[in-house]
Amino acid sequence: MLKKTIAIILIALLAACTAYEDEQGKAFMLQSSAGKEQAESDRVKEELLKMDEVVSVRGIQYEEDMIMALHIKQKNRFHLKKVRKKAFDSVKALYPNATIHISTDKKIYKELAKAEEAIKTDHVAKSEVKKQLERIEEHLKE
Amino acid sequence: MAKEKQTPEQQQYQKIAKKYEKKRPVLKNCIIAFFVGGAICVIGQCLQVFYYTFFDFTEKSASNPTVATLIFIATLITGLGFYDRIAQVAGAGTAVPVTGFANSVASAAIEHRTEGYVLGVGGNMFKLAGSVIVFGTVAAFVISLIKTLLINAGVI
Repeated sequence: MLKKTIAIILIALLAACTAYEDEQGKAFMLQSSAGKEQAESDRVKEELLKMDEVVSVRGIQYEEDMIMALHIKQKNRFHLKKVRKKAFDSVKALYPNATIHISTDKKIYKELAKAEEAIKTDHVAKSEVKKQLERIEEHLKE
Repeated sequence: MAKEKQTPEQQQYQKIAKKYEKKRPVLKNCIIAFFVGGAICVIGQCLQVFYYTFFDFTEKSASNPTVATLIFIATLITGLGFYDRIAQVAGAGTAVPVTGFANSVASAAIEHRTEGYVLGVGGNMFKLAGSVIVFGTVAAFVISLIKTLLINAGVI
């Protein structure tokens, strides 16, 4: 009885994890919802989502400055450095003049999700976007 | 004693003793160790998520306070006498993670407290953990040497 219960709990947990990953499957496109100079970041997100390793992407831009955080598939987390390089190269090919930051850190991902939410719902000022970007860049240096 | 030097009487004794010896449930022990060790790691992961969600840490830098908290909890539980009971059931599950190392240091320090702080605690604190430190350092040196050689050779 106990063994059966443990097996059911494990299967339920695994199924829940998969469902959660599927839910996050698509990138948060800002241009269509917020319409605030985020077209390039949306284009980058589309490009990054083409990568097999990437589950979802969060990111914002301020002029030529761009920060993207990737949610990587669990099995690919052993090669984070390679994935970051691959993502950076693909974005750099798209926008050679932009300053690009690619992160796989979950904290950065959360911060960017918050920033995206703020841009989408509140239509925050440009200066505020810049401040948020600088704060996240500080985190990236750690 | 080496087996080849045993007398026929000793060999016969070993044979009889083996018959009555209780067999170790290796598979069961492995499964319990896997789950208890895994549970400790889950607690560690939860702590890491907690630190980077509610404090100003990134995922990478949050591992430092996580390890410190795990060491603190393991030392506290050792001091209160619970860790040994968990270890009796879990075996290697509690010995392998960072908490096992904290336990080995704390328990040795507690055991030798009566011999004084300098020669007792200070001298015996690393009696158990010392071998881990020595072999850990040697292994790290060898591995880094191999990695450097492979990087210089252009393999990785």
